[in-house]
Amino acid sequence: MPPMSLSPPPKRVRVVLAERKRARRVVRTLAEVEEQTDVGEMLVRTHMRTQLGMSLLLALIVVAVLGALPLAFAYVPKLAEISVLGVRLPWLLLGFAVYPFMLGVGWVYVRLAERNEQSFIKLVEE
Amino acid sequence: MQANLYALVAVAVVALITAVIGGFGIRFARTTSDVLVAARTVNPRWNAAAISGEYLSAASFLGIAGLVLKEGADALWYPVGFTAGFLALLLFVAAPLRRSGAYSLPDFAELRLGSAEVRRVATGLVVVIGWFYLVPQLQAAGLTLSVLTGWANWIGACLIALIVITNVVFGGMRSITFMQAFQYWLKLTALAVPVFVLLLTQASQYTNARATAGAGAPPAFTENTTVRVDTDVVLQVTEPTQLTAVGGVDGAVDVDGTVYWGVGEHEVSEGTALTFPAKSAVPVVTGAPAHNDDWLRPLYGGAGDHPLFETYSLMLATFLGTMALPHVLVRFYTNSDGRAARISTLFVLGLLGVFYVFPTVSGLLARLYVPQLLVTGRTDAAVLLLPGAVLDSWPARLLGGLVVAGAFAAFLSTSSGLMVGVAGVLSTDVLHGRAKDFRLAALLAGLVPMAMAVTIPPIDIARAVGLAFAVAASSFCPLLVLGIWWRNLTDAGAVAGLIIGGGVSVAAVFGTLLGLAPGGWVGSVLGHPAAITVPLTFLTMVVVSKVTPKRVPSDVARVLARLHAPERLGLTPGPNPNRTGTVRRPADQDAVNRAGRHRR
Amino acid sequence: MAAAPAGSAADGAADDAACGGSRRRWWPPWRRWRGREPLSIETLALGRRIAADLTEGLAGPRARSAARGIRRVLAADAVGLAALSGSMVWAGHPLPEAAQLIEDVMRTESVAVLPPFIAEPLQVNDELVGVLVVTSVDGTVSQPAVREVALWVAYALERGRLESSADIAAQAELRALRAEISPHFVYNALTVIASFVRSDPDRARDLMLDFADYTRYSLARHGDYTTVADEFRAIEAYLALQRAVLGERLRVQIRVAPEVLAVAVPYLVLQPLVENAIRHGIEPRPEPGLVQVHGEAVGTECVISVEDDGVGMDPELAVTLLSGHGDPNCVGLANVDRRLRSVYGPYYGLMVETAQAAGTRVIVRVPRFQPGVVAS
Repeated sequence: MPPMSLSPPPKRVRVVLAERKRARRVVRTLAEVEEQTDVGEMLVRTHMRTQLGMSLLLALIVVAVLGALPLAFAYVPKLAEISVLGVRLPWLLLGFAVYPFMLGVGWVYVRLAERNEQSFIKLVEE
Repeated sequence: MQANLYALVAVAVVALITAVIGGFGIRFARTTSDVLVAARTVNPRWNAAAISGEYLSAASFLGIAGLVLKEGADALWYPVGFTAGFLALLLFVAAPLRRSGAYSLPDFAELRLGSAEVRRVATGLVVVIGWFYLVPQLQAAGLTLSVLTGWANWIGACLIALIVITNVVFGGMRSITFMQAFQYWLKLTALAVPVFVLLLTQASQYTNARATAGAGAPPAFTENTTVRVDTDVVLQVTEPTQLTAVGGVDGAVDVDGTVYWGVGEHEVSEGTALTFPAKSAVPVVTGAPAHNDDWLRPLYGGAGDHPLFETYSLMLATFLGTMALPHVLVRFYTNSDGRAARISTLFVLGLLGVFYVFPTVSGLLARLYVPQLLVTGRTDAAVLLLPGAVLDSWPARLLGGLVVAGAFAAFLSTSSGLMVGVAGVLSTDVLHGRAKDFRLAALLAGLVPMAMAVTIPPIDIARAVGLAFAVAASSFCPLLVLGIWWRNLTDAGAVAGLIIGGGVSVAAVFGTLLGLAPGGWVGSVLGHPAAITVPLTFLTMVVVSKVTPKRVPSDVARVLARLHAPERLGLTPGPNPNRTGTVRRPADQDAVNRAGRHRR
Repeated sequence: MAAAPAGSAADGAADDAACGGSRRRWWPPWRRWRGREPLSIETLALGRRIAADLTEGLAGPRARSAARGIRRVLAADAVGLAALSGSMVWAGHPLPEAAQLIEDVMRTESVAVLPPFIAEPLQVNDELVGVLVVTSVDGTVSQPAVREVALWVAYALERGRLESSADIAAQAELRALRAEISPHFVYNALTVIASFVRSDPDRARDLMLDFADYTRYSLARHGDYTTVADEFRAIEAYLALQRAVLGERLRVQIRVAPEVLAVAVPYLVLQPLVENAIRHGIEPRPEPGLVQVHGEAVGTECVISVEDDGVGMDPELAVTLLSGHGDPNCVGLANVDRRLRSVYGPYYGLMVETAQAAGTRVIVRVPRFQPGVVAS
């Protein structure tokens, strides 16, 4: 740093271009020149279908398991009274066991989705 | 409450840290003479902690334990739902949304459908959802402060609102990843440590406690307890009880002395102080299960008349609502690509799962040790009072202070995240973004919920937040899911769905919040609208889109390809991705130079 | 919009119909000559809409609604627009007999009338681009009216072409502005690398690879946008080279908030700023200088600032630089400013804070989301 002069350094002045020419937005029409060929579109459609199918399947599993619980507790009252390790079953399931279950489903999904994507990439790159 | 000093100190510390980090931006760099490069991309773990930190609001921190205390097993669907929402997000939304490049929900609506009307409607809904979510946070802040200091509820609400508004306005709306990540760990610690300590110290009384909690007995006071009633309540008394009362009981206005209560319902008016002797049964406010047996059972706890419907409606609202919350989605933007978005969400699932164990256990403990909250029905203060009720002197105060710090972290982080989100959306779309307008937007984003929090009578925090989830699930979830996976969604369909589904759910929420809900089916639907409004929105969007097939955007194929095709495609070779940046210290400069930055 | 020739009742009726039935009195005739009655604004608006629909050509997405507008203007039974490429849009009920007529017109490039059809050629710059066919079963549409409409359509098509070529020209200009590497820097960098080749070959190798990265990033032909993270990577390579050149005179500090790393920005918005900071802030002085680059997210925007504590400049000079009228060697700032404003709008230009001997700070503000801006 230069030795400080006797007066403090001058304050900066903010400068913005005054003439605000409204430059035209060229972005939308010509910016992305991605060519969507028919083959490409088919590939994407198939990929989407596979991914969606997988997601729906896993979602269905989760919904079936979790959704069955209120019904089970409503129509089979004995279930609510079973105690495992000193804790009532509903509390054990809903308070503790359901989290590892969901984490497991999520982990399975991530693996499957990534595998799907790898095969899609291989398909396209060849 | 004796924890005053520690608690206030803890609160001050949390507020200070928040202000410092939020106000001055990141200070992770040191000025060295070398090139110092910050992290290239955010580690998905950090982002996951940030998402969790911002997501865990007062509802998760205080509300769940309070609801568990009041309603028992039925309340467990709240934490399950809050977590399952991220699973739904992972399965259907995480990666495609990240790839779209959209920062907020109206952005996604615009880029997918290319229509300004959809964007406008989406903006309006984001603001409404944000406000619905903010109101319980502010009310919880009011409650916490009133438990700490005895001030009226509205003081706390206004104070927190003003603090957050100030932070957002002057801090320039920096939403710092690292700070939110820190908040998660703070909240986890603040809840876990007291729980562990309480469990350990009370282990000897475990069998005793189990017996009390398990038997058909009602909860019982462990010692002489005085309860002040703030609003008129109707209590269910399950055992003949003798108590001392000062105030209005059962219609008699000026009671001062011993009162005998038989089994049945008794009215207590506002401002009455009731003193119960030790070991007497706790009278529970009507609508909550009075016997521990019922309390332990699912489907017996809720105040509504149709518990199965309400449970399913709640499940639908929370499972599908998370993906549509304004402050969740904007954090996804920070992930570097779709893959990282997925991994980040997975970590969030884990972090939330670890966290939610503790409010549940706290609720259980509260039923044993802080049952007097059942008299007033305002059980959300359970976690705050628990350490003081179980331990004495300095451990109680220390843990109490820790819990209060966590609670404040919860309000501040979520409120500021929400306010930033709402203000951002307001300033871009409503006020036509110029720098000054951020401040005006932040003011608007904060003052309206503050007014609402003060005027709307408080209901359980978790339930209020559940209502916000219901609106989100009824409006944006179908938009996201259909927009990402269905080719033929049109802007007309989206607008119709958002207005109808969103409108109906917002009306239902207003009805519930303003206390207009009668009993029976109408009350159940108003209190838990998701089971009706979510399918309604899906149906509307599909039907209207099918009826207007010409309005499908022309670039649908390209947008969908961008959303779903994995990132490595279409990339021209850029800078070598194997290069990693390292922090170089002056002494190691030569060594690094020799080792070379280019490890190929 | 051409007015129908005065005095013809049939045209007056056509005008009435075209004006959407607005009552335009044609009696007494001197009222019209005195210009008292205003011509219908609705017709003007309809004409404007037709022209707007035709900006993308006869085969564009809105050609059909243009045909509908023309049908309304003429009050015809059906109107068809045929492009040279063979695509054809109809408003109203198409009659297949018109196809032969259209071919005739395309061949002869002159009007053909075959009741109930009238087919006019559409010529832009004396070049046939299509045919306008009007069906009028009861003969209410006159050939001069169709001719006027055909001229109007040709005018709209010409304007559409002009707009799209202006677009293309602007794009090309922006692309050209991107690839600017300072020869001064190249010379210095290569000289420095050469100086290390013998004494410290590993370092020379590193620097050469940095140089390769830098040139590849600057010159490669890729999409229009990149991420902030990639821009910072490029800056890093550049800074490594500059540090080799300048040694201890250059100190750099980079702080980037993780939230902005994924934001999509146009290529090469940061590098020219850093180059500028070093070239005008650090190099002129013998003392060491500090360059700070900060990036953070503020609300819905990403704000990146490049600051140096060098000599600063006169704010007036900064204005001329930004508007591009300054030193031809220092077009970096103007270039970046123009590109930013052309992508994001007039409020997202560069901000320069400077004063003599007070250093300089250049601020880039970019919205995190902008339709169409996606990093490739």
